[in-house]
Amino acid sequence: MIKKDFYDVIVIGAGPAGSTTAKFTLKNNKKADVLVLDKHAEIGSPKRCGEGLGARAFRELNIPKDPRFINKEIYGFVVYSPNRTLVKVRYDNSSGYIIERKIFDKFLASESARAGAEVCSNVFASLWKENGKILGVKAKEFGEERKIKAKIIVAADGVDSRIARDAGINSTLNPIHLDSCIEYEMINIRIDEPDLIHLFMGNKIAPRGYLWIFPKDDDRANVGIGILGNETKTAKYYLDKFIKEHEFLEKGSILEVNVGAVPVGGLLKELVKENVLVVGDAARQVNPLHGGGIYEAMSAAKIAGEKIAKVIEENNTLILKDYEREWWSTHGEKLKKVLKIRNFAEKLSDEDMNYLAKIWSGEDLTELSRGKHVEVFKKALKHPKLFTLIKKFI
Amino acid sequence: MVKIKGCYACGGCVAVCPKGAIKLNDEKAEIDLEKCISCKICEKVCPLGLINIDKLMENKMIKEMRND
Repeated sequence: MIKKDFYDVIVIGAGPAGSTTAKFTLKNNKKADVLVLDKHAEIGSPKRCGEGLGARAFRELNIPKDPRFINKEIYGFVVYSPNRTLVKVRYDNSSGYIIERKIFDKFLASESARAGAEVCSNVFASLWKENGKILGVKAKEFGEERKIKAKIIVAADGVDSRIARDAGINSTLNPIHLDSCIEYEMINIRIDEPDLIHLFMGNKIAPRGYLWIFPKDDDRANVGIGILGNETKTAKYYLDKFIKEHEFLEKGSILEVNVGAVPVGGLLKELVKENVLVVGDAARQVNPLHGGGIYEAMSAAKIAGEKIAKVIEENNTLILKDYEREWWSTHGEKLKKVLKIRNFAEKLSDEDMNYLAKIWSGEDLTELSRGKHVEVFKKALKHPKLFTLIKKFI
Repeated sequence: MVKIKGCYACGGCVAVCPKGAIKLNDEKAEIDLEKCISCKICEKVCPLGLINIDKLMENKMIKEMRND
């Protein structure tokens, strides 16, 4: 039950974006009145995620290595080209972790509550507008609706965000900026090197995307796929086909089925409209090359929280735009570069991918995922067919 | 408003509908056929291929004819 009828900030969505925004608002302004709402009865469930999170995210965002939400420590990756040429890298130190979102998300929501937020799961919130003015939210819980006033609304309601749209921000996604995804958490599968993540590429394997095996145990993993949103055949078709064709997966059992949609592009230029701020998947803040969104959500939320805290202290909503400016000049510009690299990768034939897998190293791929493409692309200029394509991107 | 059977509420269709005709309600996608313009973008993005706009429109017509 929501305790009050009026808050400084109402955050809609208690995923990584929402909880982190609430936490940093309060860390920067202890007196802020913050309410966090989530439509799910259980925060963090069901997961719509491969559950991989890089070591950099843990460092930069001070995430503790709590064994309760860490399944496996990962030391690198293997990317398989269509003809199974490997691009592999194994680091001495862990490069990331496969986490348990059901526990991780609740942990983040708990952190926001400990910082002073009121958190309410099982509440469906929609925008409350009257005479063109955004007054707060309409909160529905156990079939009953209540109107709650707020100075600021944070739309952290995921890829299927309605709040941003209702506030007048055009967040409709072009299907080429969406990856259609399905994942099975599987047990009793045989994984070579279960301390690495495995990514399979190919136009017949995962059109404009990839198939991933993210190990949670030595014999258990999230086996999933993301494909171009505009593709004729379904994500399920491609995932089932791959599993059938690979004995090491075919013999496994399914513990969980997850269906999801990942925004890969369509970055919102307008992140703030009047007193509504958009963050996370709702803002399309996701790496367009590998589809990872937790780091982007949390780092954007940190900026959002700082600005919201200031807005409340100085009673000036115009400061919200500082979040949009700062995010775009730092993370936004970087993601724009990564999107260009993705646009290049989309044009590759299976033959092109096989060639690049021979000349590029794991470190090269990591640089690409960070938007640093110039030196990496130069290596591929020797290939006559790719020369013209690559020249456009340097 | 028509509910999509077998839907897992991934939200992909909601995100791509150019007319905002799709919402998630009680963990199922719901399409407002009055707003729908049959562009069928939603059909392609569904990871399970659950949406068939022609079929939904046909059923709507049949229902309306029965009510007349």
